[in-house]
Amino acid sequence: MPRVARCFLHAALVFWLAGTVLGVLLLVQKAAPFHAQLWVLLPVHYEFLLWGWLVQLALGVAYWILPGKVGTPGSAFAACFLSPKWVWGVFVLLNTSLLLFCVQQLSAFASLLPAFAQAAKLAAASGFALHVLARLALYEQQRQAQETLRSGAGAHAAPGSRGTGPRANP
Amino acid sequence: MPPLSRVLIRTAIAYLVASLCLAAVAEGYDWAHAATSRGLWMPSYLHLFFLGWVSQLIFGVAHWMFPKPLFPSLPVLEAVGWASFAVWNLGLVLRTVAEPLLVAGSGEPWAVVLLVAAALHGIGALGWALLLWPRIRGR
Repeated sequence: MPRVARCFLHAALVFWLAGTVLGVLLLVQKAAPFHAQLWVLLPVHYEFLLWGWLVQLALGVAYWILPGKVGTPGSAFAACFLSPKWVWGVFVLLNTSLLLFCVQQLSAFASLLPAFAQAAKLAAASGFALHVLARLALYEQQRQAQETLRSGAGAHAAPGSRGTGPRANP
Repeated sequence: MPPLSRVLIRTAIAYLVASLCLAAVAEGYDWAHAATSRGLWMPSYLHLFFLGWVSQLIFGVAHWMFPKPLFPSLPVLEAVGWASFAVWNLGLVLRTVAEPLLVAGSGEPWAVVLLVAAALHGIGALGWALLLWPRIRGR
């Protein structure tokens, strides 16, 4: 499992625990009210569990399991989206957006923060979408190249022999 | 596929059906009685869906597909997984019953049940995190 994927998945588990702790606090507040202001944290509970846990987990697993080897030389445009640094950028943006949202909920005066948080989230989602599209395009190219090679050497190939195909990232 | 994964996925599917049945019956009741009881059942529906279906499906598939742990051993983690499964589902069932009854004003005992459910949720969530954390690793 590559390092970026591990960071996405560990961060997802941290947000899972943080979101659940908030949920537990809100449930206790419902059963035995002790601090009415606690309901301010309800949107943070949603945000942590939806974006911090579910989306981040999906991104980590996608990065780990999708075909197309990261770091493969190609056009400069595709190489940019395929580089691990690009995905690290996505990781930083997504987690910054979640922390900004949390800070904004806890501080009544920070009215510009939600816009920054949403912009960071949008940039992270678009960044990962570009990475996935570049990976899939690379996979298609590699597959076509293999098909061409195989059909060229087809007459000499053993019956039933298959190409190895691109592997998921180590 | 390990037995824990199979049980988690089957349970997740049961929660999917249960959550959708709850929503359908509640919407039907509201329509028939020209009532708006969403505030009562919506939290139970959302938690059945996300904690019962989505999260247990994720943990079931992750337990099946993630790399084997180096430490602790897989049987130890499986024991943690089974304990989390029991605690998590007991908490989820208790909150599904107690939350609407408490909001509807059915009295103090349901508040105690809800507190127990909250504690079980916390312990269960920690158990799920312990199950997966050591399995997120490189070669």
